[in-house]
Amino acid sequence: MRIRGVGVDVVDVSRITRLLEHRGSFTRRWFSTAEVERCDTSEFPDREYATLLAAKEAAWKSLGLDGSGPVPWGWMTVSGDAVALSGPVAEAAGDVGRIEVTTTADARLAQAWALAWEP
Amino acid sequence: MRGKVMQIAVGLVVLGVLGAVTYGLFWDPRPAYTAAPNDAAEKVTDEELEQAADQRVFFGHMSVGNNIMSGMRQIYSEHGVAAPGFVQAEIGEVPAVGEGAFVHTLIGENRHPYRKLDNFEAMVRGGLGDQVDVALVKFCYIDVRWNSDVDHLFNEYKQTMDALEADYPNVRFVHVTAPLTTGPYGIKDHVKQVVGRDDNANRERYNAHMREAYGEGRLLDLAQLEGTAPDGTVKGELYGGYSSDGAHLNETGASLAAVEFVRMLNER
Repeated sequence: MRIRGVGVDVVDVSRITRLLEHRGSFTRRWFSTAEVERCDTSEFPDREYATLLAAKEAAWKSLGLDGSGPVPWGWMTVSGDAVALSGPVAEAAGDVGRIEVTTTADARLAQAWALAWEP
Repeated sequence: MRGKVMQIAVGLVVLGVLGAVTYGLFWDPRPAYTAAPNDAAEKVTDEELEQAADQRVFFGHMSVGNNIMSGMRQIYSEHGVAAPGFVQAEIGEVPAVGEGAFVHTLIGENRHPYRKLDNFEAMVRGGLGDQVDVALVKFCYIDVRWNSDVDHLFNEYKQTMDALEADYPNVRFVHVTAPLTTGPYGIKDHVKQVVGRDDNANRERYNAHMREAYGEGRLLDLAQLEGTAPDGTVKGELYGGYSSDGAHLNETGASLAAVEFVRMLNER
């Protein structure tokens, strides 16, 4: 198997904290029901959302797609250490194998590294 | 000889009269619009109206937008449900937006959709984006005419909206198709169609881009609603029974558009 691309991303947890305090309606559009449940029931929801967002952004970068389109996070789902694609993101990505992510977070930053494999 | 001249003269007079009658009656007639029955209020529930009224909205629009808000006031009144708190803001003015506030702005200038887009973006970035739940900008029918570059307009619109959606994740951006006008009716309108000066056809090209990009749930398809007669017949033109003057909405059209708007506000 060959690597298609590598992506790295860092998300400022305080940005997510502010968004959650300010209605937090973005969670419905950017995250799946399962992701929202996972974050909302975690000890630190803001940190968990930041981690998932970093994972999605890193995965997006690993695909090497044009970043000028609509916000793609609703079509990317993080499950365990893998990211699944759907809708227009899956269409744009074309043939792609597994996308693996590794994440870490503290109170300040969430970071993610992604590897996209060729099919 | 004199008889022939007389015949020609009479012929010219007859032709002139026929031409004048044709011009007067059939060149560019102004039809009377008979309002379709208004049963819009039956298509929405009190609960849907209450839910929509709780949201903080920013709506950039011009005259057809005013029609839609009139329709909302009417629908809320018929149901006896408290309407959203309509607040008109001037371009560049950013009011404090409380619960249930519906901020609207007569945005930009008709025939200049790019200025409308600029004004809308500036107002969202100028503070409204931090306060509202839903934001939308609606172009006017006059903004998209037969010679408008609808591909370019759509691309500019989409780029602006993509950037706003990325920068304001808590705001749900709703998209609206370009409204249509009635007709063609007279010879003039049909000639314009034949020579390619068909405003509605170009509006529908723009709307096709909007439908493809935003689809259900994110698109208030005003043109689809305007073009669908009560019997379900669909045409790429504003149905006369929904219009007061061939371009703006009468009470029925405004109420139907208002119901769709309420539904769109309640989408998640």
